Amino acid sequence: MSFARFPDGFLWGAATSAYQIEGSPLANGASASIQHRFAHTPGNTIDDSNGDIAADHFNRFRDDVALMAQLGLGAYQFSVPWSRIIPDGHGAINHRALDFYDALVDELLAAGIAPVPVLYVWELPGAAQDRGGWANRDCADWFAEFSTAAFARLADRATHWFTICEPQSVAHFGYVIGELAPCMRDLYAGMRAAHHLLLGQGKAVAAFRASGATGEIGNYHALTDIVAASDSEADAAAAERANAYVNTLYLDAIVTGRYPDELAEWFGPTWPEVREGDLATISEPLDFLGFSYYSHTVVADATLPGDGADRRVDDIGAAGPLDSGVERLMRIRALPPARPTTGLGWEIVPDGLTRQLRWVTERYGNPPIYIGEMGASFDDVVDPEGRVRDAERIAYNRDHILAAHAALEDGVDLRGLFLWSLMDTYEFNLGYTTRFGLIRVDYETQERIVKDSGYWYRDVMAANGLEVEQRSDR
Amino acid sequence: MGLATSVIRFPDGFLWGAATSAQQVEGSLLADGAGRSMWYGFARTPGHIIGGDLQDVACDHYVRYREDVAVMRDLGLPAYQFSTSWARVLPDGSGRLNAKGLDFYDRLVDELLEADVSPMVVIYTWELPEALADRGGWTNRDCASWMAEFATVLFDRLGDRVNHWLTMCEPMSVAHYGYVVGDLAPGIRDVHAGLRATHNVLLGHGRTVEAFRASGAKGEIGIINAMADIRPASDSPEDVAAAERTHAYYHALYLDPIVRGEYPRELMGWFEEAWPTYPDDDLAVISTPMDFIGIDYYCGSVVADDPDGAGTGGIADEIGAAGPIGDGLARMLKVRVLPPTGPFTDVGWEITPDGLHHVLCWLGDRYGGMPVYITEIGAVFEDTVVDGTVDDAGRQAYIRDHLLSAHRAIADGVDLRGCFIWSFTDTWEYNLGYGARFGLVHVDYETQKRTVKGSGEWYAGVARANGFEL
Repeated sequence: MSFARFPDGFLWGAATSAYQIEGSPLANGASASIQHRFAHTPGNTIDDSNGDIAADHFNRFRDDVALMAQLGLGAYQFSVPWSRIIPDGHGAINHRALDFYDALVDELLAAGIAPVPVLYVWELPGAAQDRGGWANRDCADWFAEFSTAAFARLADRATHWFTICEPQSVAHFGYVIGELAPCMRDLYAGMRAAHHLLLGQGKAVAAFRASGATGEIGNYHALTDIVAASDSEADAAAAERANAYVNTLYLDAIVTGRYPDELAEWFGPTWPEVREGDLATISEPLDFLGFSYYSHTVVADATLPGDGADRRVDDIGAAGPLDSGVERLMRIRALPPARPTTGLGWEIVPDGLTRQLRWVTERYGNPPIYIGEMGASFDDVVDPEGRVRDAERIAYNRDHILAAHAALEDGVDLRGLFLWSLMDTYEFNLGYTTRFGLIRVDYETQERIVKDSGYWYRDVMAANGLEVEQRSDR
Repeated sequence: MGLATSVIRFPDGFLWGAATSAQQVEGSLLADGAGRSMWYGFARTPGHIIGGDLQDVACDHYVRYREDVAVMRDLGLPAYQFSTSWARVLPDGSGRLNAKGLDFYDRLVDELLEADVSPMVVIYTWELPEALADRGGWTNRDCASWMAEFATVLFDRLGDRVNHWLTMCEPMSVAHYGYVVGDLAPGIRDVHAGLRATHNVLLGHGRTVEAFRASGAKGEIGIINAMADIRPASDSPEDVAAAERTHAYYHALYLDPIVRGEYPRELMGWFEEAWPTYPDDDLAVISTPMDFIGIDYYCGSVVADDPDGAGTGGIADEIGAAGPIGDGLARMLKVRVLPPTGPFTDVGWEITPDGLHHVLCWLGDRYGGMPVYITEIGAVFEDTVVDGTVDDAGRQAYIRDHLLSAHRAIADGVDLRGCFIWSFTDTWEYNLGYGARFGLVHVDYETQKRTVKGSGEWYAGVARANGFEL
């Protein structure tokens, strides 16, 4: 038996986001975010649900923090929704809405839990969308303005900040293939959105430095492990193309201040106008790189006529396996899953996490890293004793935490990780049909049940590590 | 109907024409300094257009317009409806004028007049400049002013020669298909955004009519509204209410504010918080008096109440326009569309000529005798060129039956002034690409050869005779 011990001070956390758990999205002067509008447009969520109530965290946050304390959670990641704070997108600050996050931060600190806000988990104010959203270059400034308001109120106490959750999900799923709000379907608008999201992040980081904040700030990138289907040149090139579109487009720009040359070439006239100074703004130095990680995709070349992908996009539209939109755009074919999958059909690939962390470390000069999200959706059952025995989620989390530890042993400067999600959440287009939580939410009664995986994670956090022999035989 | 031959004659001065729209026929999208429209990126995003067909060349009309006008002249077509591409004229949507782009429409109008074809100009058939889409497009209230700016440029240049203007094509398609259900560019699926777009396109219409009056242009101005014959599945109060709701959303939502200066109250209640807020005097702008109503009519739908249903539309693969009621609308209004029983055109739209009579009479009743033009009727059938001719008896019968229905409406007192067939030539039909042919004139997209179809010859005869024999 050996023990996988994590470094002293390793930050063990769990994550949620505002629209996904809070409910009361229009309370206290908030405006309708694009998530609220999306959910209230019939047909957009598969169970016709919305976030009007969700886990009612807006009213129950003190109870939820008490639960976190019981689990010994080291850090809690939550988002501060722009649509509550600056309802018109830019302009007047709704201080009453900030009171909630102020109280949440205090409650967390009193419970010994590090508060880790995310500035954007897709809660764009509808009013900003009505002026073009991220397709409009001005959106970067509006975002910096909102970020400044959040820093002014919370940055004296929040220990770590993430900027924008998965800009690739926003640009690709929101603007290119339209799976997520605002559901635009325009490659050109999508590439502009990508550039403006990155610009927004850079401006927010500059605002953070100017605010006198005490904590650290990092980005939040959806890291998909992309593997070539064969050694053939064509498949290797396909994998590189896909990797450029989902990973290096964002990471190179942020860390090195360059967009990958081959992408600009691939997209030709679609490529957005990049003004002088933009890349310097985008590469404003960060304190750490943040990642979400869920799965991999094995890709083959599909540049020959007739190779076009016809797979329906039926996933969550985020950091999961590559979707048919990427397949069509980058002329690749994603191979069907060959390994065991989670309840969403996503392949379980813990070694992909190790591989990706090593790749990031090598490519970007050994930056401090936080895993902002990892976790799994499985169909949970409450047994007659009222217990959720989610052994599959435990195995998934264990294998991924061990994979993270393996990366640490290889010299990756991993500082902490957050499991997605602390509690079950509204999962955008999937509504309430999928559960990622360490804590089960009964949406009828709002009762919380800590799942077995929650107790398991409590013990890992308490021990700052876990037994290696626990690794499942996958 | 009896077997005896009878003559169907239309009122003197009845305007017979055929229609196209800019990007559906022009090609040369970026020629001579044109900007990109939002359809440029939408069509180029893989997976949107059947077969990946792009509108880059289309009928090459930008280059071959003289040839096309010559076909109209040879047929004796009295009127031609076309639309102007905003981004050709104002590449950034607002501000900088692209003189060469405007020149094209100037030359086209002159060519038409020379050929004795009356130009009917649609200012906006969905081609919003990309630069404006990036600023929120029709969800941005400023878009109404941007449109009036564009329209003013057109009025100043073409207003001395154009007889009929239409502010826009099917505001319902713009708002509903573009912003609520996302079948058309920009593909947004957001009912809040869609209702804002609804209000802003109407405001754009109103400001454009104001600009028209201020410009001193000759001619008349109206708007094209998509019309569908919507009937209840039964006379139960629930089904009747479902049909009324659908009818209100499809028709009265647009025409009531324009003609009567008020939105249908039942809809404002239905949408609750999604209903936009706006200054009270917007309605006065929106209802700036116009001269006529244009209608596009393709088919009817029978709807039932469906309080708990997931929403079932009439057809899954829709063009996203004035065809059958789709899933998105059905879900939103909690109705179920009964499966149509046919016969059908080749895109699966039910052939319901009587519905044209219904909607014309409804218009006449509700809007107090406002003059009406049928701005589009037409049908997709698969055409084959054999020995230089296209025998499209199906299309000819479709048009004939709809003209009969229109004629009955005239007999019933509707002030119908003219009729345009969609489409003059075959066109690039948005999501359907080049596969769906509506034209009176066949286009071979390989060679760009035009072949007047049987229906085109027949229709030209109808136009010459101002009617036809049965």
